[in-house]
Amino acid sequence: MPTAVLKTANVKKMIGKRTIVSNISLELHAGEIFGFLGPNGAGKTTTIRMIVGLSNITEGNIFINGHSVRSEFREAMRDVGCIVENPEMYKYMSGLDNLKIFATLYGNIDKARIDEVVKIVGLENAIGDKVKTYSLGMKQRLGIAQAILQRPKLLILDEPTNGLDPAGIKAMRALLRNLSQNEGMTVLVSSHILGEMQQMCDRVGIINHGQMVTVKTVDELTGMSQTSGKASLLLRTGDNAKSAEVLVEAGIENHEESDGIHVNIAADKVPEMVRLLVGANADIFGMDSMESQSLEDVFMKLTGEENK
Amino acid sequence: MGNFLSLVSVENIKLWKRFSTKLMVLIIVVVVFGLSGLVKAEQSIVQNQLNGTTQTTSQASGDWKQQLQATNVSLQQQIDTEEKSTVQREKNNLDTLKMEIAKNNYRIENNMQPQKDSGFWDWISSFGFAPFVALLAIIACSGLIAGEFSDGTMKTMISRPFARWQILTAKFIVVAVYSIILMILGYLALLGSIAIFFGIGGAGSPMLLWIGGNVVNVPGFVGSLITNGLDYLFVLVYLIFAFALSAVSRSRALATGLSIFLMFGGSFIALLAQNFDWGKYIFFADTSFSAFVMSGAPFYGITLGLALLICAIYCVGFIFAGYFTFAKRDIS
Repeated sequence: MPTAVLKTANVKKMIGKRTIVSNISLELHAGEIFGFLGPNGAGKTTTIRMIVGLSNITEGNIFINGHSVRSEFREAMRDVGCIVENPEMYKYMSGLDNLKIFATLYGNIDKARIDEVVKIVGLENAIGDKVKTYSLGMKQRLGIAQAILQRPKLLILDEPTNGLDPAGIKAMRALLRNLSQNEGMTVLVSSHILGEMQQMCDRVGIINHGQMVTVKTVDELTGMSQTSGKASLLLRTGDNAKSAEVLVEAGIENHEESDGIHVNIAADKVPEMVRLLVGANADIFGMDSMESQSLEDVFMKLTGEENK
Repeated sequence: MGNFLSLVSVENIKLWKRFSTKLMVLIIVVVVFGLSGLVKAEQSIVQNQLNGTTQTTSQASGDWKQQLQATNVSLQQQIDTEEKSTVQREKNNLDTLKMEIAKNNYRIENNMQPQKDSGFWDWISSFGFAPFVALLAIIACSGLIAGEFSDGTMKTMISRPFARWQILTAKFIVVAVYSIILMILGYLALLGSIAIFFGIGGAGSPMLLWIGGNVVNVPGFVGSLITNGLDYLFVLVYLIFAFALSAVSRSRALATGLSIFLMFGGSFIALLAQNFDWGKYIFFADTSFSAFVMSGAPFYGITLGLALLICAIYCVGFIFAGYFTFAKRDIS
C-alpha cells in the first residue's frame, strides 16, 4: 500500500494541564482534497499548526510522505506548502521580492516558475508593488502563490477563504480542483463553512471539542441528510397560503416560511404531491431541494451544537 | 534539506531591503563627522579664551624629565595610601596610577617628551564611537529577529526545510557582519573627520598602551586598531545580548528598548562595581574593554583578561537562552 501523503497517529496537544486536541488520527491519500471541518475553537488550527511545525506535538506523531515531523522535520517540510491563519508577508518588499525569497529557500525554483505561479493566482499587475499596498484578497492570493511555489505534494490551507469575496472564493475552488486533478496535489483545507467544503472536497473530517467526530466522503455526508428516503423541499407558489392548505388536507407535512413552503415528504411521494398541487390550480414557480440546509442539520447534530 | 547558505542570503536580503538599514550606514558617517566637528568647535572656543590670558613661559626641554619624576613621586605616594586601604571605593584608580608612573618612567628612559596636543592616532583611539555602532546594530538585530515575531512573518519562515537553529544562526551571522561593516565605516569616517578638523599632526608618533601591567610601545596606527578592535568587542557583546533578548521576548519594542537602555546605562551600573568587590561579576560593569589599555582598569580588582572572560561566560549563557527558547517554544 502506498504511503499516505499525510498521516497523523493519535496526535494530542496539551498546554499545561489543558488538553486542546486528542486522538487525532487522519490519513490523506495522494490527490484528494480533504476538508477539515469544525466550529470555531474545535482544534482545526491547533492540529494544522502541529503538522507544519509551528506547535510542539505533545503526544503521538505526524508523518508527511513517511517522514516524521518530530524527527525528520526538514525532509517532511520539503513537500509541504501551507497558509496558516492570515499569511503575513514582508510588507516593505514587493510581492515579487517575497516570492523570490521563498524561491531561494528551496533552491530549485527558476524565474519561469515564479511567473507561472503569479499568473495562476492572478497577481500579474500588482506583483511589483510593495505588499503593504495589497488588499486582503491580494495578500491571500500571494499566500497561495508562496504555498504552491515549490510544487508541494501536500498543500495545507487554514481557512483560506477568510476575507475573500464570492468571486475570490470561486476562483480558489477552481484552483484547488485544478491542482488536485492536474498536478496531483493533496490538499488539506480547514473551514467552518459547510457549503464551501461540500463543493470543494472529496472527503470531510469533522472535529469538535478537540476530537475527531467522523470522517466521511461528501456523498456519504449528503446521504446522511436524506434520512431513509425522505425529501426536504422548498416550494414557491403563486399563493403559498392556499397551497399549504392543500398539502395539509392531503396530510403532507409542511410549514410556511418567508422564502416559501418547507415540505418534508417521502421521496417517492413527490410526483403525487406535484400532481395534487397542479390539480388544485396552484401556480408552481419553483421547487428546490433544501439538501444543503439538511446538511447543516447533519453537521449541527454531529457536532452537538443543537443541544447548546 | 535547504542549503544553509541560501538561508543566510535570504536573511541578508531581508535586512538590506529595509530602508532603515541603508539609512543607518549613512547615519554612522554623519554622526562621526558631526561629533568631530562639535569637539573641534568646543576646542576652538576654549582656545580663544586661553589666548586672552597670559601664558606662563614654556620650560626648556630638559626640564620635562624632572617634572615627570616629581609627578611620579606624588603618584607613588597616592598608591601607597590607597594600597593600605581595605575599602573598595578608595582603591579604584590604583591601576591608573600605576600606569601613569610606568608611562612616565618609560618616557624618561626612552627620551619621549610628552606632547602638548593630542596626536592624530590619539584622537582615533580615544574617540569612542562604538556605542553608536552598538545602537544601530541592536536596532537591526531586534528588527530581524524579534521583528519577525511582531510582524507575524516568522510563521512563514518556520514551515520550511530548515531547522529552527539554522534560521537563528543565519540571522545572527547577517547582523554580526552588518555590525562589522558599520564599525569599519565609522573608523574610516573617523580617519577622515579627524584629519579634516584636527590635521594629521603626530601621525608618525607611537602610542603607549597599558597591557598586562606593562607599557607597550606600538605604532599609532596599530594602537588605533587595538583600541577600536576592543571597542568592537563592546559592540559584539551587546549585540549578543540583544540577540538573546529578541529571541526570548519576541517583541521588537522590548528587545530594542531594553538593550539600548542597558548599553548606555551600563556605565551607571559600573558604579556598583566601583563600590563592591562583587560588582565586577555584573555583565554591564565589565564591558568598557578599550579603557583597560588606554587609561587603566576602570575599578579595582579587574583586568582585561578577567573582564573578557566574564563577558564571554555571560555571552555563552545569552546565546544558549536564545537558541533554547527559539527552538522549543510554540510560535503563535
